[in-house]
Amino acid sequence: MNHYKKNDNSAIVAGLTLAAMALPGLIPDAKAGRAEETYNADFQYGNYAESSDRIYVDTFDLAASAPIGKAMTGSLSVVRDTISGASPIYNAKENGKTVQMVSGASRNADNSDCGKSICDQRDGITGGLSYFFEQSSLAIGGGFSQERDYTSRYVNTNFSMDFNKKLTTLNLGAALAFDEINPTERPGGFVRNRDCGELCSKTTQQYLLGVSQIIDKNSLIQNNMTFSYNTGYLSDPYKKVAVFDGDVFTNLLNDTRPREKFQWAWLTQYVRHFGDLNGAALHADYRFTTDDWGINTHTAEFSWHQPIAAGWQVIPRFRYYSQDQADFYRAIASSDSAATVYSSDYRLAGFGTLSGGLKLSKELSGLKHLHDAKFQVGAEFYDHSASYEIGGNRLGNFADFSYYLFTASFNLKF
Amino acid sequence: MRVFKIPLIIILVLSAACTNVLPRQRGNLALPQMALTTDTLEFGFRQHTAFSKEAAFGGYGGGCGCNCPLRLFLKFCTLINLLRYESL
Repeated sequence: MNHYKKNDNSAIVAGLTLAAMALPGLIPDAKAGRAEETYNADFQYGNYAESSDRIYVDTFDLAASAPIGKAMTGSLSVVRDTISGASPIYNAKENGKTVQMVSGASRNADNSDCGKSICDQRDGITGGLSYFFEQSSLAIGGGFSQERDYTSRYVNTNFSMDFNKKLTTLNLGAALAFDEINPTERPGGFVRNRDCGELCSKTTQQYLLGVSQIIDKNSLIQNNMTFSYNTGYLSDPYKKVAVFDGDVFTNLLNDTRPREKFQWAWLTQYVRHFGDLNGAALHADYRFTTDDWGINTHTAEFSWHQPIAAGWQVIPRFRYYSQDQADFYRAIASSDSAATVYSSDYRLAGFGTLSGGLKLSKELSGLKHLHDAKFQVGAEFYDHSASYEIGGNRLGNFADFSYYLFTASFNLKF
Repeated sequence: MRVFKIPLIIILVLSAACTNVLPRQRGNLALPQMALTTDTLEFGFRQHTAFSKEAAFGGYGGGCGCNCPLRLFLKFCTLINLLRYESL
């Protein structure tokens, strides 16, 4: 029943789903080759809090995995997210300045379950099987998730093979997702985007080609390419585009994007061990993406994993991200424009982000009935600003925001 | 297609340039802090929260719309790496 949710929180929710799909690293056993021999249970609580009281998310992940025979591993995970808050709908001009119009300002908030314009809950489940051969492995998986206005089903398969005395591993992956969006509408709110009828759907294909390589006894590198193709309803049913003739408001249009998108991504991950620094590890990632909507992005991320003593580890991290705007992005549309696709979604604008965080980890071993246990807590601050874009931009700071992330988790191995 | 050939060449060159590391020399690589993804639950939360606010997509094998079909791949990839290094 929430109105203006899709981009801001559906995607967040989506993100949180993914967390549920992930399982922690599994303990290997030398005698059994690649098959694990421990049972694993993992729990994570995550909290997302956006500036200006916009979006607030609590997420609970529960994941388990177990050996099946000597060469197979099965995994299952569930997630529940609760979301509340408000989300930008479109931009307008006020006294010559561009301002964001946010759903929380509407009267939807007064009628909702949680006192905000957006209230939702999302439940998801994911399962997978992997089979390990002598020099290779094959994995299959699938999942389902549902919230009030969004249903997703997906399957995937992945294959890995070792070469070059196991110094080199080739990774191939393919995945397919079918999403259905059924925009909800609350009386008195904005009319939803009905361009796709009552039920909008989209399909996502993603293919991965990657190589991981041991460089020397202290370092390794992984290079991935992914090819993604989206087709169907790729607009946001809760977002609008305001049309102005000079400073005079003339119309409010539905967010309308192309029905296809192709994106290519390159990722390099480098990991290095420092024996002289108590076994610390440096992680450095760089990613470039480009798509046929005209958006190029750069991401650089660094983290330092510093073991202290007695199983404690401290992990600071830093991340920088920059993107340029989509060809059809318009903060505000002009009444003399003949464009057929347009969006004012701030996620398609040009901007940059800076984020930094700290995590503490404590590992316990030698426990009765437990092979191993680990507890972790972390916090991160993320700042989005138009001025952080590489080369800068002239959009102004009307869409700037920030958020905090907090996580707490424990991992048990039996 | 040139844009696709260049990365492939880089991969091949990088692969060929690496020195031999015997299995018994790979202990450091097997440490938990050396895994490509050290905490997959947290990774999923961070990565996809960022994804929900950014246009970037893929690379890690995740980041699709409301779900991430290749997310599972990451998990298995990490697993495979760990297993490979530790079982040697």
